[in-house]
Amino acid sequence: MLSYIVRRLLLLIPTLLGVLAVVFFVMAFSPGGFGGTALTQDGAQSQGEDAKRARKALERRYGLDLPKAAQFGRWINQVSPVGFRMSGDLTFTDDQHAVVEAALSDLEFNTRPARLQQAVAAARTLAGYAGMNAADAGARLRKALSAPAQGVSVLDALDSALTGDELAQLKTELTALEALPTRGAERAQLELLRVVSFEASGRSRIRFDRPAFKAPDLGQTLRGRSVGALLAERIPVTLLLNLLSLPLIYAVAIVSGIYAARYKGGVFDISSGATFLGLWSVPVIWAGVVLITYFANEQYFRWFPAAGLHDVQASSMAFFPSWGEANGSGFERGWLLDALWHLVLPVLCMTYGGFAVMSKVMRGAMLENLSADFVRTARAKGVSERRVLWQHAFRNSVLPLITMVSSILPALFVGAFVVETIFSINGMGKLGVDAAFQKDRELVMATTLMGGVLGLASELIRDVCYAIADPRVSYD
Amino acid sequence: MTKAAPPTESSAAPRSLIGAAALRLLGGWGARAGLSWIGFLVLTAVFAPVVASSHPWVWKVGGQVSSPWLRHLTVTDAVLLLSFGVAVTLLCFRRVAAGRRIAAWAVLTGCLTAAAAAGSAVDLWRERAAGGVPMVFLMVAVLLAAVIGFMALIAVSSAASWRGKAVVGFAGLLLAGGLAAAPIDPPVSVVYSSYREATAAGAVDWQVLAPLAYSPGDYQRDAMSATGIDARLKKPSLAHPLGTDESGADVLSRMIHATRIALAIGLIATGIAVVIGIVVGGLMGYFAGVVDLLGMRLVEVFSAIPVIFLLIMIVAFYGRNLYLMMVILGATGWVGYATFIRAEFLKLRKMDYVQAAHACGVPLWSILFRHMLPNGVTPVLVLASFGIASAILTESTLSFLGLGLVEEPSWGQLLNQARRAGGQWGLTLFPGLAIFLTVFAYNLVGEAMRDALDPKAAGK
Amino acid sequence: MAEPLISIENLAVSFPARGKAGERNQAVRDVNLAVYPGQTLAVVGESGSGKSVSAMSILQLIPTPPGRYDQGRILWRGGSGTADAAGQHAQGVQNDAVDLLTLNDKAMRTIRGNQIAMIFQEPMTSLNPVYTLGEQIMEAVLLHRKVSRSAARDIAASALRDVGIAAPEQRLKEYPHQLSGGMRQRIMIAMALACQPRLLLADEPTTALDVTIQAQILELLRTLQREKDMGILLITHDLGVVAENADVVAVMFAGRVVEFANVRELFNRPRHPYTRGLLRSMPVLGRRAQRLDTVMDGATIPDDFPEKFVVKPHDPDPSPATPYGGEDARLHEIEPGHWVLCTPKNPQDHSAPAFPRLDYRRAQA
Ligand SMILES: Nc1ncnc2c1ncn2[C@@H]1O[C@H](COP(=O)(O)OP(=O)(O)OP(=O)(O)O)[C@@H](O)[C@H]1O
Ligand SMILES: [Mg+2]
Repeated sequence: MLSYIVRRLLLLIPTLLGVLAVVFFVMAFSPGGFGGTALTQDGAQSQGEDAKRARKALERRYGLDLPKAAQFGRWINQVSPVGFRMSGDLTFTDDQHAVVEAALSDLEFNTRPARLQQAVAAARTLAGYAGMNAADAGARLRKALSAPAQGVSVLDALDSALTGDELAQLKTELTALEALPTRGAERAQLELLRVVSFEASGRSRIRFDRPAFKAPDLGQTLRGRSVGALLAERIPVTLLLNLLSLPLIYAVAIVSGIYAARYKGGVFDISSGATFLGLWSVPVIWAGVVLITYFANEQYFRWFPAAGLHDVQASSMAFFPSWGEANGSGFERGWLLDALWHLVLPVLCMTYGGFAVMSKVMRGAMLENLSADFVRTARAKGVSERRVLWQHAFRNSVLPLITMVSSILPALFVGAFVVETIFSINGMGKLGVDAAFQKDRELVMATTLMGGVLGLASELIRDVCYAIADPRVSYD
Repeated sequence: MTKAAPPTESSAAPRSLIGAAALRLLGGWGARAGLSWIGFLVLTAVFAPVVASSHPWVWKVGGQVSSPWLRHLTVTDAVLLLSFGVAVTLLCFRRVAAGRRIAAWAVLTGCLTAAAAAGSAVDLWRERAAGGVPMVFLMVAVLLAAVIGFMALIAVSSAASWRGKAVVGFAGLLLAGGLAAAPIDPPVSVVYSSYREATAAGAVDWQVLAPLAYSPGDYQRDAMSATGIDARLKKPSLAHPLGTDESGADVLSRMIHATRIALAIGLIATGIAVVIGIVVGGLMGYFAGVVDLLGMRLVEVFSAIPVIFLLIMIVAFYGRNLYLMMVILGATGWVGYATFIRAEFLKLRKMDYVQAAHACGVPLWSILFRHMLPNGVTPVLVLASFGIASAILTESTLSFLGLGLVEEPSWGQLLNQARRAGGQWGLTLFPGLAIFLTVFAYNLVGEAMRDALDPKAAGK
Repeated sequence: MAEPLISIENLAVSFPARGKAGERNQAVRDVNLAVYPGQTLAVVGESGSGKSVSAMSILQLIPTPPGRYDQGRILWRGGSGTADAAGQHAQGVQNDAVDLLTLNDKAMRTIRGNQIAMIFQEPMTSLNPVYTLGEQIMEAVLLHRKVSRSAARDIAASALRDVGIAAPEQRLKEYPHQLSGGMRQRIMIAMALACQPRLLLADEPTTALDVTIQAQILELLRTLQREKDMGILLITHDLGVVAENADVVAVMFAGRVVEFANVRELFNRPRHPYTRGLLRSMPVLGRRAQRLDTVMDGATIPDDFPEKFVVKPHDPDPSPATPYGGEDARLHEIEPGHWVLCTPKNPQDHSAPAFPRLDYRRAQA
């Protein structure tokens, strides 16, 4: 069993790669490219020097100067827990740090600690990016800083993104600065360090020399937030929605399915079948809008909150409801009840569609098993009707229900896209929609990764559960 | 022995089985209700410009009688109306077999579509110098090719006599030629307020208006400015039975015109998905082995991506376009059909009689495609019925999220406005109701078809 | 005179007819059977003649609806006061017999699997695939005996040993799919016998099995019967099996018992046309035949059929709706210990139809 799971997990990787590749290249080949407003059509701002710099920094952060396939490889490498280090991840050991510091500190310019640290950081990037050793990089930077106008050539080591024109312009600028009477040299040095630091910053190249275990990094959003941190914040919310919805769907489906099968052709059977089919057809968006408009609205019934997962004051509430006199009004909801109260409508929206499919499956399985030969055997043994229902027929009907897990889990995830958007809940789904709207590549990729992992994992879970529940299936 | 009986029975007489299934399908009230709603939608879609239009049907201005309505009729409107006319005419030929009449209708409609597509292809080709749109041109060209291929297919596979074919072909040419020659050239920009201003100024002697005198794109700017009445988000009234939307357009009119998109999206997207699914699944099942292995990976990849997310992303990155949406819905929805056809083919390959036929020298493709596909397609139809429902749902979800069409009316887009509509219950309830009823109708039909095809149910 | 363990009297069971609302098909009617302790009653007859329905009626296993017990009594004398304890003593029943058809579900459960056990026709599907054999056998034991789980396991293991399964402790932990068809049938038998029932209803216990296993299982049943003085109602299509195992034979056709006699008598002097046809259709080693007779070919009325009775000659298109032997034919004891479905020529001058019962056991080999 364990080897089977491992094998399946390994098989999961190529599929996941395929999923990611599809999404990545769809984005990469889109006419506007990704990054949207931030990277391309930034209108007036893009004219300014600063905006240009900022855009360049973004391009560098995402490795946009590489060919598209290489960009994908870069992203995969960045996300994978095993892979090549990026030069940007390079850190000096204390010894190396000391060496470089020593090489640079006797420059008069670098006597200020802040400048020295900046220079050391630039040397480090230089070393990492160009593959020099620490001492060489230190010496090279030192040489450049002692004569700024000539030192521009240090940028070559970074296979500079500056064009020939820009380089020439920088050179004349620095020469002019150097020629200034007062502290001209220092200002030129400062300017050069600034340019070198900028060109070096965020510049990261895969160092193919040593593959290693590393922390997977989901990158940064366009706004510069860590995607990993963002996910860590959003996933629990979606998980909560799903963990409430899934058992609810199963509970309702099981009970109604059994009841419908037990009294086949009866009033409940027919009416529940028709109702569920109807519910299945109700678009979530409509249900959401109607619920919000009529049950979370001052004009009609303000029974439920319209948006979010918590009240504004939720953080100051006690966890459990209380009837203290302390707060005057007597009853206070408490954090738990408040959260549940906010969850009623979203969970309702996520679940009602699932009842139809699941209860139909349940009913069919129960009908089949109730007329199975082994149920007759059980009856002939003198087993009570109740026990026949639960221990024999139901136990066997669980199997098709397990199969449904792999289709219901991804469906719930998809449902989260819409439901979270309607109810303004900051979960994974809303994050994904927002990511697409903002054309934020790393976020879109991260959402795809989560969705893909969930989809594939639910298939694995299904197979494992099935193997546990059905002794006839074994993977050894 | 008794256990082996049902399968042989069903495979020996597939025709009668399907026929019996069809009869049983029509017998169920659920399917009947579903089909009537879909029929109603088709009628609405065809007659949308007739029923809801700001252009007066006929009016007399300055002593001249003219029809602004006719002048503003688009090619699509004309094709739909003509095709409907053909259908009604064909209904009268009771002596001809139903199958032939359907084929004739398909060919005639195909001719009309081809003429229309050719017309817009020519227009687009002319525009290419002025920075025309190659993508759209390509799509129209593909549509043209598909339609012509479809007609050829019907002509080849039909069992009709050559005289019948010639008659239908001639009629088709006549229709297409008529459509191409007709002076259909609606003005690009329309000023709806001109009608109301003319009426208010007393320049109109008399006029015949459409029952619902508002076009979907008529935002009634004049009503807002001149009379000082804010026409936005008006609650239902006699003039606007379902009120108006955010930009002042009549909700009912938009809903009526949106039936076209809903029906087209469902049918075309599902059609694409079914074709891709059958081809891919057929290839996998036919070649098996390596092809199957690779195909299955592809299937896995596509089933692991949440379709709605992929769609949201593609629409966000590639812009909003109805055709693109259909293509993408089709390109992502084929997985179910492919796996079904593949499983059927693989199952069939193992059957003794297939192996025997193979051993006798009958090529495998002939066995699979001549005998297998016709039987396998019926269950695919069931899947397709649910597929249409889900395509409509997906489109409305996209529109709801603000990724749908901008100008053209769609139910989802109206529903999106409903979020902000507050008390405009005409906007909150009815577009959603329309989506619900349509999806429900397709689901009912699918469900009924499934029951009708179920051999277990057949025994009862 | 000893009373039979069980006697079925005038049992009629019907199911709703397909496609025709309101009409009902009579699956069995006027079925009369009796089994004595330690006796094997073989029930033979063509497929669909109501053998299984009769047997399942004893345990009230016919699903109602759609089925319905129209009339009849099933008198059970094997209960040592259990039924009385349940307060279900039916009126008008002599001795300490209970009418099983009048018992409610709760009382019935104390009889099912405990006093009367049943082995079903389809061994492949009659075991629950998701429970181990041990759990399934112990379920019956735990239901009917007040024993601990470990004691129940011991009983289950010894039941397995009884049916000749090696390493029973091991087998108890296995699942049905791990066994062959013959093994599963043995498990079914072990399960049925675990509670030492007084009566065993064996519905084609050997049909799914190959000949060697078949012989083993029948031998096994015989041994167990001898040890525990158990009555067996053996349903089978195999006349060879009947000839070797049965004490008394009942022949069924179209929902009715057409002939009832001890095995010797029945094979040597079959009286009912259907029985004759049935026996004629059996190939006999050493007799040359161009073409084997079908049942209907051989269905002739014997020359020495008693004068006083008539039986309808063969009906080429039998169906449960047109009973073979005449609408008002009843079982008559036309010779001592030999009952045949027929009509008295003159109703006045002949005795009333009798419930067949025959306390006969073949000589032990
Ligand atoms: N659950 C049921 N519903 C409807 N009809 C039934 C049902 N069970 C049995 N019957 C009918 O009752 C009749 C007798 O069936 P039964 O199973 O007793 O036959 P059998 O003699 O055991 O045949 P076989 O030798 O094939 O086992 C048949 O005509 C059958 O169709
Ligand atoms: Mg039977």
